[in-house]
Amino acid sequence: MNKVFKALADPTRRQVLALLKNGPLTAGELADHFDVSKPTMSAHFTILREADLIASSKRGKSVVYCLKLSVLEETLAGFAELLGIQAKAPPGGQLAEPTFSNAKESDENDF
Amino acid sequence: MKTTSEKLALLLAVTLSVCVVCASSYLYLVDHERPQQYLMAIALVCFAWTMRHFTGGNAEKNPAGREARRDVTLGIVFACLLLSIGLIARQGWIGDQFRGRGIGFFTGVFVVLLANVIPKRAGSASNLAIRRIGGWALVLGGLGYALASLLLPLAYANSAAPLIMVFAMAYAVARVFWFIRKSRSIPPPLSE
Repeated sequence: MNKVFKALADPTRRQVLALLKNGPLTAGELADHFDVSKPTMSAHFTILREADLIASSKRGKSVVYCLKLSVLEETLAGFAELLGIQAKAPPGGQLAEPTFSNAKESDENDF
Repeated sequence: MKTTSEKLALLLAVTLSVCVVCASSYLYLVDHERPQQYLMAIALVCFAWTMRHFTGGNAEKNPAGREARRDVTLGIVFACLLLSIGLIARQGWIGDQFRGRGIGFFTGVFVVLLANVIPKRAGSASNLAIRRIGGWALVLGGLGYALASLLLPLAYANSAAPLIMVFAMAYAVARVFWFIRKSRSIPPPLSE
């Protein structure tokens, strides 16, 4: 459960979950909604996968993510959004990068 | 490797099963009015554990099998709770009202626990929305069922609680039909 709380604590990750409610998206399509670097997005996806909130699959060369939230987790995400810091990134601005060591550059399709 | 919640559920299932089997065995020997009911309770517990043993295949390596086995474990906990309430009521330790409320409350909680993980189950992305609708409806219906059984006067609870569950399921069916109709009415994207 700690992993779930950690995953839901970040507004970027919550917005990823909100985007996936409409259907599966590729890593690139998700990254286009945020003004952060690819290694940062890759780290966000890893945290969400480890918390078992999203599932990934390969479609050709792309990685496709789909939602995997239980009802309780979706409720927690809603409360976190209600009580937390604004979820949307300011226009033209950049979100604070989470501190991850060993973050590497990766190919466009390889999240 | 089992998670903490799986270990707790298994421990609870084992403890409750042992209590039910021991109590039923004792009452079978002591109470001569309806001995077959105690035998049925023991048989039900044995059947449930046998089903658990054969459910899921190699659950350690198969996630779907692991989920099925977890559901059966929850079912064993639920069945043993209901049997315990019945046995306690038969001994006159609790009144009919407490027995009715207890059975209703645990039924609602059981529905909530099972429905909570419906959206997380393996399945195609296309029916994810349907699973979300079903999960939410059953969780809210189960919650309403449990609270109605606990809080309303028993005469009203016996009719209100099932009505809440039926309404929740009817709403889920209506939403699913609306969703399917809406997704079929959207034309496919034009190729350039």
